[in-house]
Amino acid sequence: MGRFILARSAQALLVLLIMSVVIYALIGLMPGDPIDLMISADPKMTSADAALLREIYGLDQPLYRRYLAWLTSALQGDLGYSRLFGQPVLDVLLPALGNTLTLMATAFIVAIAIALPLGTLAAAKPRSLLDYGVNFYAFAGISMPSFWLALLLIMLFSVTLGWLPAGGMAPAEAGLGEKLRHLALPVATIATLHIGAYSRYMRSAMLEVLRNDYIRTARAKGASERRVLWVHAWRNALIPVVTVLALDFGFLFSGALVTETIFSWPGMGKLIFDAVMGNDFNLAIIALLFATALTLLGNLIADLLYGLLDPRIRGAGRAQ
Amino acid sequence: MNTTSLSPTALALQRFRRHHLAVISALLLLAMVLAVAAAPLIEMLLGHSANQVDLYNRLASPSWQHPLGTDELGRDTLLRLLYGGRVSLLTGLAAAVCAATIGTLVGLSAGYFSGRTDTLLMRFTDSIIALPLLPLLIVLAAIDLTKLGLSAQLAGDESISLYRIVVIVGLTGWTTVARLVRGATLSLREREFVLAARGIGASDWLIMRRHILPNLLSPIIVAVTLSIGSVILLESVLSFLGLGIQPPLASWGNMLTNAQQLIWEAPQLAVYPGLLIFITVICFNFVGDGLQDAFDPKAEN
Amino acid sequence: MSLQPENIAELKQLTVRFGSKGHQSVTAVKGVDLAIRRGETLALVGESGCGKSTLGRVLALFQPPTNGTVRLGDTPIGSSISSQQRRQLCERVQMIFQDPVAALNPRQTVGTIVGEALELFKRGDRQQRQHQVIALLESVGLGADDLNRYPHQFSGGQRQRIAIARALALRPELIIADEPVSALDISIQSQILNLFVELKQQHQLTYLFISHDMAVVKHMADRIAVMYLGAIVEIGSREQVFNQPAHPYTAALLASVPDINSRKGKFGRTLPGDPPSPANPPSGCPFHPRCSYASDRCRSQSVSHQVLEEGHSVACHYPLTAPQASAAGEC
Repeated sequence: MGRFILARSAQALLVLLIMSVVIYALIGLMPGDPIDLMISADPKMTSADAALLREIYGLDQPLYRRYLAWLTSALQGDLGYSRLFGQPVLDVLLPALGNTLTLMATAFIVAIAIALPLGTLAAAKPRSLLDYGVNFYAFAGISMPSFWLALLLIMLFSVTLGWLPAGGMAPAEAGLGEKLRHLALPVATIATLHIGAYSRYMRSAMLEVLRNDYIRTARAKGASERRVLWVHAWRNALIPVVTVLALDFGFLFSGALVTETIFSWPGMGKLIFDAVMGNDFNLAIIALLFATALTLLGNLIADLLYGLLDPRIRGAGRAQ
Repeated sequence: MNTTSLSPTALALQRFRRHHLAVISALLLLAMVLAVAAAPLIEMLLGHSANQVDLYNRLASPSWQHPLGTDELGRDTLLRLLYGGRVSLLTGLAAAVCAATIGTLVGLSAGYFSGRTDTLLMRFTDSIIALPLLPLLIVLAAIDLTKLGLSAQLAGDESISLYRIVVIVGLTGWTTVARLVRGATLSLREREFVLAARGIGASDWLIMRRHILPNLLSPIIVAVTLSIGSVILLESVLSFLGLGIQPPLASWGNMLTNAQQLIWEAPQLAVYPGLLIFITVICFNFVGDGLQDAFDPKAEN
Repeated sequence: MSLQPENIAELKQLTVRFGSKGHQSVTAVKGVDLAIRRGETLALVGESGCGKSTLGRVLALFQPPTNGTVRLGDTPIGSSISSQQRRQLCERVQMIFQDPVAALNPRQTVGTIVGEALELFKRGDRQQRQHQVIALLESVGLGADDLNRYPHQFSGGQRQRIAIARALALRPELIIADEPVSALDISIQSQILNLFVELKQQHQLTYLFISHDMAVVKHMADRIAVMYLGAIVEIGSREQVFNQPAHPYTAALLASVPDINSRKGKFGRTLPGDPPSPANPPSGCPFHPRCSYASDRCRSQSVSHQVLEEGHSVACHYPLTAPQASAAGEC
């Protein structure tokens, strides 16, 4: 088991390293460079000045040298300065991360709270209208553009009904009610799209379990249908469902970029978008790497959970 | 002694027809393709072009002249939807084909050569799957092409934005196809007719080209159909964010970009493009699902 | 150390092991010595899992041996064959598979399937090759109209004929037939078996005929080798094996054959127990768990071949027919 964790972690770290090179190169390909921005801020700068500045900042070095320089300072804790926010990158990043987690965790909980019972009921009445409805809903969830759903929700709840704000996050001092009002629409957008898929997982897991003999035993012993469903079957169906849900952990961390952008939710996703669009190189690189690292971490946790629940990996101690 | 059994393709079609949702979806898609193909015709019928700006007639309600009203620049919504549909569907298809090619190459090599090649390729594929998709796509889309050596004029050209989107989305969407193709290749590889080919001294390349690839057609078709949906969604998101298809070239995605700013004035502008994306994608998903069942080898006996 | 002239192929101490050494490996073939004589039909009989298919595949160049030597003609076959070598060798040996449906590429026409080898070996121009293909098809009972048809348009028996035609394209000397009729209807089986006999005469072929069914090899085989758990437990001429089976396993297999003129008597019962798993072979004589005559010696001491008479040998501590050996044991 320990070997398994080690192997997977090593793989993740390798991917992260490779991605750091890729991201660094890609960001370098974005329009402009820091000196151009300085020039536009100060028109009196001559090209000789610009060349000198470039030399000072090491921008005339070949790519790999710049990368290595960046890597060394990053590993020593210096993650650079964000041009857009005028703050060290980490100071901008960490709050954004917190906001994303708030959003995603809430959305995840809401989605599960609705999807799991829904899936159970669908499994309890196969081929009923509810069952078909759940199936259709699942398809709809993966087919709908999230930004469209967001716009529709804004249209309904903000423009027409005026109940909820069209965007933004409540400030830290605001009360819980105000915070919830701002959370409502983004959470609704994300959760709606995933409920369908999650309920389908639950449904198939439940169907598997309901076929088993111990269910028949419970029924024969006189347990009510309700008890059979919600106590016996549920417990056993949850295991495969948890493993499948864990696969979504990665998504949890990388956030819903589009949703955050539409609702102006100051999370990681919006940060990445703003950084890329605003040519804030330092912030863009670190934010992207963070997102990558967190996604990889999420997948690693999912892999570990899988490994824990799969006795072959746990017992034999062999990787795969 | 000849048994008049149906060919495997005919059998699959029969099974497909039993999936009512899939059949309806297929018909809907066909209708949509016909409609967007007929865009020039409808343009002629209505008497004005899709890009014709008419600032006196902004945000008009539906009328005979403008069956779905006009947008914020007075352009006919219906025509823009149809032309945008062409772009969205075409890029979706092109990107899906791109993804399918890469995915087939990867999956075929991994499945056929097995061993270290397989492990390497699959670890690579898994790593791609494990990455945060949208942030990376955004970076790819934001690249300044002049830094790669393209002339400034070429870089700004609107059809370049189309090719770029196709390449970017194709570069990321191949993983599903790769996995499906690998699985199919693994099982095909053990079939006796492949052994027989080896027994007459056929080279690996010949076997892959002549014996395995033609038999991969059904899984590939299923994989492509299932991936077109996500490809179209990706393109529309990128276009929505301003990084995909650039205006004035319309796509369903970028038609929604302005819709957000106008949501207080003209909420109806947001409805149609998104609805069309939704319908297209869900139809492709239903058709793909139906095809998957239809080609299922378990049922083929 | 070359081949004896009358032998077309020789196996010496052939061992085939799957998986890495240690408790995860499976030895499918254990130290088998076998010689296939030119022009004979040698039947290789045994239950599924006994290793007969693996042995066949080694001879057909699909499975590299783990240990031991394999010779085809004068050519030794090592654990890896260069493509050059393979091209030379496939003109000597070809294989016919069990499942006629899986043996033909559903996307190729019959003409292409049968002619593919000719095309790869550049035997003449396109027209000449087509003539050859038609000749091959006719020799198996099909015709020129079948050239452009697809496999799914044919029945199982016909597909097997196509497979046979394909195998004959390169005019091999040795044909490894791996359960060629097991997947066919009983009524068709005899037709295909007759075809085998016909073709053998026409083309001077040698057959290694693999089967689990004694009844099938009854009429065709010149010699019969019985395999159990990776080893040959008895080998002899058809008369010797059918009339004087020496190994209890052979006797049990024969008991399942309907109207054979053999000593059924006390052997006329089916074999108890399931075929053992090659991953976990029993100690001593591998057959002892299912043998009604097993003794302590059988359980502990491993067996080697003893020759009973000319051409007939058996690997058993207490053979049923033992002209030289004393009748020791609980026979």
